[in-house]
Amino acid sequence: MKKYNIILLLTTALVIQFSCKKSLEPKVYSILTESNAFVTKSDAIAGVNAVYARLKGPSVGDNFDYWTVRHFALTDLTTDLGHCDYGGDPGQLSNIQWNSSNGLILEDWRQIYKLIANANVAIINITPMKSITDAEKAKFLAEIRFLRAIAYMDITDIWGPSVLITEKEMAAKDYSAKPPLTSLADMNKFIIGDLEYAAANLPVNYLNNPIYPGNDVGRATKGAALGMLAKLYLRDHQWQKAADYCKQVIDLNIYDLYPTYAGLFAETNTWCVENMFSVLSDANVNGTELLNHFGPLEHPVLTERWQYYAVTWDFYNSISSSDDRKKMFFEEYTGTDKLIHKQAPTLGATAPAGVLYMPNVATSKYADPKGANTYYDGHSVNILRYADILLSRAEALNEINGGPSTESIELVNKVKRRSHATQLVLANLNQNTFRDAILQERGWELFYEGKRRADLIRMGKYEQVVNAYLARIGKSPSIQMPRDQFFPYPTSQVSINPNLNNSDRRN
Amino acid sequence: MVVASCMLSTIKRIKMTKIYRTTAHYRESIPIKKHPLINALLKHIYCCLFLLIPIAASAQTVVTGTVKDEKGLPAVGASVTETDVKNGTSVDPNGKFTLTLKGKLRVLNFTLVGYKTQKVNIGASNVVNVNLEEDLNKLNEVVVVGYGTQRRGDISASISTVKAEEMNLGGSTSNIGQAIQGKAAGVQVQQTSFAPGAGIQITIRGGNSIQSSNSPLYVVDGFISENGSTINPNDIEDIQILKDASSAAIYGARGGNGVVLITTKKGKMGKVSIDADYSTGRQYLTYKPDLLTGQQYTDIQNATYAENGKSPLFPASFIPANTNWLNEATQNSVVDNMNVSISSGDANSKLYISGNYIDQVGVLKSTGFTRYTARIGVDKKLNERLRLNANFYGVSSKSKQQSYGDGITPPLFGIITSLPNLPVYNADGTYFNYLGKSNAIANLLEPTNDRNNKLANANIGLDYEVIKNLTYHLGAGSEFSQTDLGTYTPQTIPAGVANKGLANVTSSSTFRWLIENYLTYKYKFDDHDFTLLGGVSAQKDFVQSVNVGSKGFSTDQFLYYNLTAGALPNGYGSNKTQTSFNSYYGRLNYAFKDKLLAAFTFRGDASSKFGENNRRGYFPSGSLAYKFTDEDFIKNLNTFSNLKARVSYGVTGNDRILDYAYLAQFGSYNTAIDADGGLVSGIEAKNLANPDLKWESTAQLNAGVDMGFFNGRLNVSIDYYNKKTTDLLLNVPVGNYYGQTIQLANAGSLRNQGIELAINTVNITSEAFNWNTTFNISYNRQKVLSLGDKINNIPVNTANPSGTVSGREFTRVLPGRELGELRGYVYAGVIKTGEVYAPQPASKPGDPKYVDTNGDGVITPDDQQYLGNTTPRFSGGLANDFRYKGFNLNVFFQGAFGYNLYNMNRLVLESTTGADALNRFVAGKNENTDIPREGYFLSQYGGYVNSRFVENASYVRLKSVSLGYSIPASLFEKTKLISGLNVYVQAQNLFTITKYTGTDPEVNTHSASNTGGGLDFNAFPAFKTVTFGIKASFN
Repeated sequence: MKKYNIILLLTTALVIQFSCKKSLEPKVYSILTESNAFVTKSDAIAGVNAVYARLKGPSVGDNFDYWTVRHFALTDLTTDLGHCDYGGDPGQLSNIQWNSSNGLILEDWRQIYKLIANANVAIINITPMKSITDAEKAKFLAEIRFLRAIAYMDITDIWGPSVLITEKEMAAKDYSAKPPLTSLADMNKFIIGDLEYAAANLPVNYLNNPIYPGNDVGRATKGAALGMLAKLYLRDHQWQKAADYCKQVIDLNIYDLYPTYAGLFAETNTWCVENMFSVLSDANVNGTELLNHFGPLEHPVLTERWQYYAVTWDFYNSISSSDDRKKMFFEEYTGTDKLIHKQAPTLGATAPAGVLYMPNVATSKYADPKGANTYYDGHSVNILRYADILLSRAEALNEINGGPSTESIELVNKVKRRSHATQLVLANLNQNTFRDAILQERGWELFYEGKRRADLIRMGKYEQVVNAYLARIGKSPSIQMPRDQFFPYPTSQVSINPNLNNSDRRN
Repeated sequence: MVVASCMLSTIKRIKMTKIYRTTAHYRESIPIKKHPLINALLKHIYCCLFLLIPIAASAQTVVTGTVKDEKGLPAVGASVTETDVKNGTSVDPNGKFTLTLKGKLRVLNFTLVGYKTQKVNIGASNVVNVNLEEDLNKLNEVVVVGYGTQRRGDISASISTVKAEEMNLGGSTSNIGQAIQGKAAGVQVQQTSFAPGAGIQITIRGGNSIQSSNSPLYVVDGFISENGSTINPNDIEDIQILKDASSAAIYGARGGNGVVLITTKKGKMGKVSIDADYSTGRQYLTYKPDLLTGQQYTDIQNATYAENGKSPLFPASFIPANTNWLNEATQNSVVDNMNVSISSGDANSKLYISGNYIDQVGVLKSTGFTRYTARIGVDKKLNERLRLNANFYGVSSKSKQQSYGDGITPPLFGIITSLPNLPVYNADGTYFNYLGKSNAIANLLEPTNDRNNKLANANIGLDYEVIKNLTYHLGAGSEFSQTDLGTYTPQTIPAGVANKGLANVTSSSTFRWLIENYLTYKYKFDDHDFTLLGGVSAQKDFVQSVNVGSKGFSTDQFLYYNLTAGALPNGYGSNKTQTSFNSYYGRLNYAFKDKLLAAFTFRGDASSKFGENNRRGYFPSGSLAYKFTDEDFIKNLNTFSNLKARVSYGVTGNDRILDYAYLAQFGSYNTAIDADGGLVSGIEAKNLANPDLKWESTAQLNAGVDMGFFNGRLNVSIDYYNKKTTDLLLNVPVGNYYGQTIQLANAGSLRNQGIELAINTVNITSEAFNWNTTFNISYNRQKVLSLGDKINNIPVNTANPSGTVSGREFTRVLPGRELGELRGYVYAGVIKTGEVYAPQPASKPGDPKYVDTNGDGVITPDDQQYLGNTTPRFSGGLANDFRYKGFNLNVFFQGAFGYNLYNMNRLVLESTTGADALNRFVAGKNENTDIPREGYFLSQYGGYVNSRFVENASYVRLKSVSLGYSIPASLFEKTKLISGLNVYVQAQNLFTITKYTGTDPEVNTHSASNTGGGLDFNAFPAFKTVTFGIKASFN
């Protein structure tokens, strides 16, 4: 009996000891907390990297956020060149019938602001760090602010005046605040601040960089920051500043056009002399779904693809057959369905037996038949490349000079020459026709690079061009400016923050 | 001495009895020992005493007899006591007893739990045979309550009991939910998925929580288990469901959703019995949608294309096949269930060992569930003051194709939308792939998708009587569960070809240890009875997982068993979390004259899931009950055999949120950044921290009355409850500009009110024929009171019903509404040729038409309306049990009423492969129809969530019917091997009365969320089961 008593007493004592343990501070294993997330230089780098990472995503799995495809739904599907034959959200955008509950509008909102939040969090945590030098800190902050500027540039392209969240608002930790809209002018000012800081503190490249041991070509550079400044001033019609910043980029003498257009977009060409700032990926460990969404339907080589982001026949037909860029399409092939896939001779024509008239045409820009034919692919997406800078300077000069000049014509012709396209002749052009030529050239050169809608709006041609296209294919010409200059704020966000007012936009 | 004891061991029993008497003043309550060692020891002591004490010479009266139950079987465990002095014995396994009388009265009491006590005046006789009568009142039954037991009659709380014999067992029943569905008032069980081995949703008295779990707490033999709902139902002795705050508050922060106390079987008194039960059955599909033939589908598609000015999708050269893909994917299949148990017990020890095997082949091909379980339960009285019980439970289960989510990727969507004009196979037997796309049957049959689970639970309980009336209890145990998922996508389907084979393994485990200590003190003076309980408990949970995958295989042979054979990695990860709980608790039970009953409980809980600011929570409760039964004015009515009124109030909590949610968390998010494509690591914020996070708390008022009539043959319980849950843990939507879509916070409140009625009657009881009825029905009404000041509403989206449209809002949590109410457009039919419908100016004839409910002249999201609730208003069950001689018939109906489902399957079928498409609008030809020309996805107005697919899902179903026959013992008596033999047939879900046209009225593919109820989309096909079984008991 005693034996039992002793055992029981011991057990009780032991157990009560356990039960009354005061501290219930949980042990964390698989996450970091505020106390240990940003300690070393390596942590700071990881914080910076996560901002880059949000240019696309998810990092593993269906990688189709933001610049790795969904962003194109707003920038290209809503214009004369992009087309989606599927219903629902992309169909709405493609048919110019969107409203504020369109899921793709919300997705872009969420993903772009996610990058901004990562940038703000990184700034908050890196700024007070003691384990890195001031020089290192400046470099890190420059990268982060560059990326935040890219994101705000896209936010303002899409929504114009929007919510401006900086590291200050993020640090306040009041997540139920209903921040007001910031005017486009103030947003621009903020973006310029970030880009100027980036241009001043970023290196021109990462060869033998003291911080990053590899040649991290995907990182922000001085050239990219200058280029983005040029793009911002261009959007703001501050032509002289735009032209100047383009000149600064050109004068860096580190960029050039890649010899061939097809080669530029080959999947193997992850980075080249023309890339200024791009999203990189790897088919195996960080693959994108570009091929899946761009690839042709029932294609014998690129099987099981969606042809989700396709090109209108009108746009395809507008490219001259001598132009290399016309070779970037799957305009005719015998499909796995044994049917010949091709363009209908006339709108609405009935296909004869053995033939399928495709509603649109797939581009090989992100669907390289010679590249990896795996589920995920490793295409780079160019956010800013040199050809854009050349065309941007030409556009700015045309506005400054009131018409084309030898320099501006040559800037465009340089781009055309690479693709064996017909050269422009100065004598045949005036300011208006040259502007139209630049707009058209930008379409041919930069289709599905996230530029089209901004180009059309900047040049005041959005309503005219897109409505003309809609009319031609028998749809109602439904673009109305200025209503459609900006997209509606997503419904779900409006209900959280009533300051997001859609009264002057589609709702 | 040794020699003497050996000699004396042969002394006749009568002499032993004499010695027993002489020493009885201090050993009278020792029942017969069975343990050989202790027996030997005792004999030894008796022998010594025998040598020392002279044999008493006076004459003794020895009474012998047999005690039987109402069926004439030995009343094992019954005790026989004298009424005037302390003296008694227990009956042996044959129901026989021998008692040497000490008193003068010659009146004996025969008692057995569950039976009426009989007082017998034996007069001059020395032989007495007694037949005990079952006590229908059941008020003397001892039931398990949290941290202790109580006589049923003394309970002042609201507790439902389901006993083994009342459960729906056998056939395809594999979990508690299926076993108790419809059996307890206020306990809503929904078989949300018919997939073999799928979980089940149990909600007690309506869901308290919006975004946390509404699942009750499971306590198995005193151990708080996360796997309580999955234990083998055949091992359960009874289940007590603690429904009100008074009973559940002793479980504090975890009692908010009610508590399910499971007591597993221990051995029965009597000799060793071996019972075996084998059943085999077939499962028959009950969901068979009407589908188009190949030719019909071809014609409709081509016509639609023509209407849109497109060339035919299927040109003239196309020869349509005629495939019913659902038929190809499904089968009537087999379910086998086998249970063997060994049970043994005597006054000091009980033993129960069981093994169970269930093998269910899915009605959907390539699915199935196999499970083996083993249980050992022992209970041993070690000495007068110390009692030990120990339980071990082990499970190994395997299921195939276990994922039937509500998206378009699981196999069902592909199957029901596969084109009927395509063949499944090519002439050479390979899969036919149309346009290079995958074949739905190949997608079902080819991939490997295994889920294996291993579970072990071991726990002990020690009860020690420290001093008289003071008992110390120690409960300690641990539970380990490991789930391994293995998938392989072979190169026989396009998804596998693209990756050259894709293998993944995920292994996750949970480990819990738990220690409970409590003291129970009973105190009585005059008419006042006190029982005081106080205790502490500590618990720690560890959850760990690891996953790894690879792709690029040269062969499909390895499946997921050799990941290195894949040339490339395909994702990997690991995770570990830890949760700690510390608690203390107390309870005071008070009874005055066995009339007034009161109970007060208190628990203090601390959990590592919550921030420093709110780490502790306190949960009090109290209840009062009054028994009117013995009051004269009630007695004089001659109506009630029992009348008790109860009222209780208390606060319980709910802490089921993810670990570390209050902390600011940073996690990895990697990216490729150099030209070689290698990944670099990134760190980003994973949440928006909230240091103020705390428990959800539910305050509940319960008032009830228990009534017994006709000497306990009719028992009625009525309960009313009103629960208000505050500080709801909500994912408060935040502006996405903060980098997250939500922040977890305590916001808002919700109310559940309801009435429960439970009736059980003994309609006929006689030697030959018995008929019992149990009936229960409950009504619950839920209302969201508030979502806090930061949330206007919580929209919830459907899955996307097609690859080309996204999920759309179909319910919206809004104050004043209940959870899961469907919300969408009001459908007004199709637009006819020539019709101008002003709110939809761009619509064409044949397009769907929606009601402009706000009359603003356009169809906008503001025109959406609430279209119906999806949680049943009423649910109930009716069981009738008939016994006639050897026959036993049990008929059990179960039903739920007053709710709707969103039949998204019908929506999809109507615009794809369903026969309804034959009646679609065709301009000039078929205009008198409600079915649009080409479905709902392309319309620029309104949306596919509309009133057309909201269906009333009320149902009554014959949940279970079984007919058994006990083969007369005379037929096998001579074998000496078999002691009982019973054959039975049973049917589950034999028929259902409902207007619902979808998969099944119980289905809810959105069951993971409390807010998005009532969605029927891509669910596992429903079926009914008919089984044949045989039960045998062995000597």
